[in-house]
Amino acid sequence: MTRELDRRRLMQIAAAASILPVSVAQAADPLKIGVLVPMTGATAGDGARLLKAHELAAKQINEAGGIAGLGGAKVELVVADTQSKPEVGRSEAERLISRAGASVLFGAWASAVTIPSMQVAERYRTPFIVTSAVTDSITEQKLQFVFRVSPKGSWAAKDVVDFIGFLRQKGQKIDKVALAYEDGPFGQTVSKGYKAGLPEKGIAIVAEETFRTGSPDLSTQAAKLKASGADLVLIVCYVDDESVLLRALAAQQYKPMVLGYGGGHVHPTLLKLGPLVEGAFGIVEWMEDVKKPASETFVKTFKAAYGEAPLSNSAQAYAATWAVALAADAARSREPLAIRDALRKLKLPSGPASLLPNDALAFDENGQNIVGNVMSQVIDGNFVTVWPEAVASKQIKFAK
Amino acid sequence: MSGFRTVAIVGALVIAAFLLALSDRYYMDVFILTCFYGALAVSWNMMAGLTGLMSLGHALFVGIGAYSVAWGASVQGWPPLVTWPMGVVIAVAAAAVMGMLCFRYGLRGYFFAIATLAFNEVAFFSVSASVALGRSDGLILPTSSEDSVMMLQFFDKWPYGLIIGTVLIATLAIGQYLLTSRTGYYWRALRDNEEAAEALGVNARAYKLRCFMLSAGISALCGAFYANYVAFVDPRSALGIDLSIQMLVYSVIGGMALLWGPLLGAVLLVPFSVLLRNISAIQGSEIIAYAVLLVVLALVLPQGIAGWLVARWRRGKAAPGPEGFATVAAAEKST
Amino acid sequence: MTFGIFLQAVVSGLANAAIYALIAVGLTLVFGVMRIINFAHGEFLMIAMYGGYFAWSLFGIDPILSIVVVTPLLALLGMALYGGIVRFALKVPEINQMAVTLGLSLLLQHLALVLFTGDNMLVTQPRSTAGVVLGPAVIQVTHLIACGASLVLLGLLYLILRRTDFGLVMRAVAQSRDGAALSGIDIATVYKWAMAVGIGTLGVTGPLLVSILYANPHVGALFTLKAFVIVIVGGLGSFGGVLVGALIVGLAESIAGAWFSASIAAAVPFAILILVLLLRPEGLMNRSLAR
Repeated sequence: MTRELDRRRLMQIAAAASILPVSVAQAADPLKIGVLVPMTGATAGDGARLLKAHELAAKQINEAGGIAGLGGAKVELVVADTQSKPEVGRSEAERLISRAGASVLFGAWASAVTIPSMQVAERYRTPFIVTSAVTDSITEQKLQFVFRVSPKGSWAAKDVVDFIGFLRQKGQKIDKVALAYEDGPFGQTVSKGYKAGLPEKGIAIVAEETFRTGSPDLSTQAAKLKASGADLVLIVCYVDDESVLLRALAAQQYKPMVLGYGGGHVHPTLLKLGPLVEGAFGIVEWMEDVKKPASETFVKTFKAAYGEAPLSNSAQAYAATWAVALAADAARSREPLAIRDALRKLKLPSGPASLLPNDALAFDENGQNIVGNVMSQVIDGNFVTVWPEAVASKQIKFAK
Repeated sequence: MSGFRTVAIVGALVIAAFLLALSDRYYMDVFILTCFYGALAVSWNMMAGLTGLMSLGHALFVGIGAYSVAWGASVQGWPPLVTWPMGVVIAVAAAAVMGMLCFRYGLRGYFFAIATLAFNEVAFFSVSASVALGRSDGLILPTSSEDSVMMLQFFDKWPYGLIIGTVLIATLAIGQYLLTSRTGYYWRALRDNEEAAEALGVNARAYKLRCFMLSAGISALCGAFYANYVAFVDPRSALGIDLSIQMLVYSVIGGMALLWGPLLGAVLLVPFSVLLRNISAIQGSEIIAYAVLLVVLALVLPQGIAGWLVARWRRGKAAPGPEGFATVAAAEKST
Repeated sequence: MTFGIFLQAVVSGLANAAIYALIAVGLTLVFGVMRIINFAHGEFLMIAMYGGYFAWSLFGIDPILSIVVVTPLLALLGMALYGGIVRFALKVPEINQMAVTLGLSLLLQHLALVLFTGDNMLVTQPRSTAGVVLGPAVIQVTHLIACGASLVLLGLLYLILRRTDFGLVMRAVAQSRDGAALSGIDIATVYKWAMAVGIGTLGVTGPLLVSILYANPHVGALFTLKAFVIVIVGGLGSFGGVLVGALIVGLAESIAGAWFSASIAAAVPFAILILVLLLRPEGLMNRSLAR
């Protein structure tokens, strides 16, 4: 008797159990997105900033009910530490796709780490969205699964040319321009664009000084820049080197206008230099005071969540996360191929993903988002957007 | 235990690992990395542990192989059939030149090691400045989503595993063959006492050169594989000092007196660092654990884990310790 | 390149040479006495730099003044390094010693990363941007101070090595360990003190450098390699060799940097190293080894 009861009981339980998982699974299967960021190694600080932005976006998407087109599925970020090393990034990309079942990958800060990782994604026919690397060739390889929200490094030249025109209009004398850059992957890519783009528009480059990142002494470079008599010095290097360079220039009693690049300039560490860096310009992909509704909302929520202001890399990561969620929604699928196709058709002139300073987030036939840069200036010890005037939050301030 | 039998067993283990890894792409990736670093470390150790020539700049040859393939593929569109031999030939030639210079001037020990490091650094900075080789941005190899045997492009991982596994087994086989030949005996004589060997008529320069060139060639082959596998080379990953140091570390931990010692080091440390990466909570804590392990093992087991295992296998010999190094070597000679 | 720029390069090169010499002297001292190459040398420099930084940021003390505290601290660390690790490392083969110090280097860098994060820590003072004019060349005040302090310390070290019993004992051990032991010298104590002095010198350089550069976990690694080149070019274990080596490296690097691109200039010290190794491997200041 007991045995029969047990068997019946067992069958009842089995029957109930077989129904439950099916109905639960349909709604609960999250959309897994792999996030490749450097959490250790030399660029760990930036990795932390990228991750915060990704997490903020994921939280917002999930709190709003998940991805509607997937039955309310939540976004689940699977984070991997690239250790700022290419081979680790590549290996982790493998793991995220093969083991963790990621449908899309984000990554991976430095170009050297991003490129092998994106090659892996390409081979596995999984979309890879580059959030920050600027090496031009990333979107020049005719790859089918690679997208990029950040601009190409060489596009900085175009914006710099326009900005110089703007400065001249405002009465500033800029006849001679000099380049100072770190002779590594960061500096070489962007300066290549400057060297090609500036002379084309009739702006002469009178000096070109290089240095290895981490050099303790840039006096000779500073002396040569002074000797060139340049009115404006375009700097491309990491913020650490820029501090050393600016001090060396000051010691030489040489006070040209300076224009730094990207995250290597718009960085809290630079402000520690105090009055030395007042008035310095920087060209950057995004600034926290850019006048766009999506951007202002983002800055507010980021500050509320983390107690610090976001930098451009955070904005790019945030936009990318929303873009993927919206693409998955439009595709109504978790399949990498479907998401890839949806990403290609994406056009976002408004909404959370539109915080970057272009009209709409969209990827061209090479997966590249056509976006420009803005110019920042250090005014009263803060980075402030001063150009293009449409999104500027303050007027440019001139020393003379 | 004859040397050939050991190598045959190791070879069989490699094949077994390959077959096991076939089930999972991620395991295959770990297998590939282990074989890659293993082959590199074994080739490095042919110089250091077996001939007494410590090289701190071996990444140079890996880089030559990698860049030959990357440049050939991205600039010229040449297939691996052309670029792989090209890389090996250039590396062997470079080793010949470097060797002739160094040995002619009698560089030994620390000085030879630092000289190789200097050559490596010069190459690193030269490539960083060379536009043709992509400067610091490196070279991206063209990837297509179509499979191609000719260009070594595969969606699956196992063909890559097959190739590097074969390279590893071939390296071990060549090494074992040479060890029991006259060349191998001369190498070990040079390692133990170069003056005595020379006094007995061994042409030190010629044999050292031969070892250098062989080791360089194998490293270049591994570098060529790396280029096709990762599809991207830049100065830091292909020519960086980190790579040279890894070869040293695997050899020290694994055991330098044995041909397959470095492979054991790679087998233990490569999956270990990958595994630790995934389970550690604090950022960077796995590297701290790895570093501590390195320091402790290097102090406590100077003959390496393989040396310790072999010494224990031969019960009754001297206990593991600095003497164990010589014991293992002596024991090996008597087989 | 005009004469003015050349002069600037020379002045900068000389100032750097003094700083490099101070960093390298500890390495050569340790090698000369104990025959061990410490790959983690740069990491102790990094620790000293953080020491200088925190003295300034937490207590408002000028980094230069903090040398008084940081140096004994580093010397103690040196002794601890000997007692805890190097003492055992001396018993294992050369290659294992290298693995040990390499592991230590990795360990210290990542401990620093966990404790202090990877962000750069800058010291900002009024004199950070000041320069002293020497004709067409300008030398930054921070560099001048570092250069001056280095020379003073190098002079001090020289006096200690040549004029005191302590220095005599160290030189004896460097020349012949067994001979010194037979004479009744306690080798272990000498080793401990050699390490204390060798690492302690970094306690002076660190705070000086942090005013010029910045502190971060990997800042030491850059200098380790440079110190190597200097020590080998000058001659392992030779005090005078460090000065000569540092002069050559500092000047060559600076002048090449004024002429060529930075990457080429960075290769120059290594090219010099190769030449020296091929032509005079014992170093420029060491007595010629019998061939």
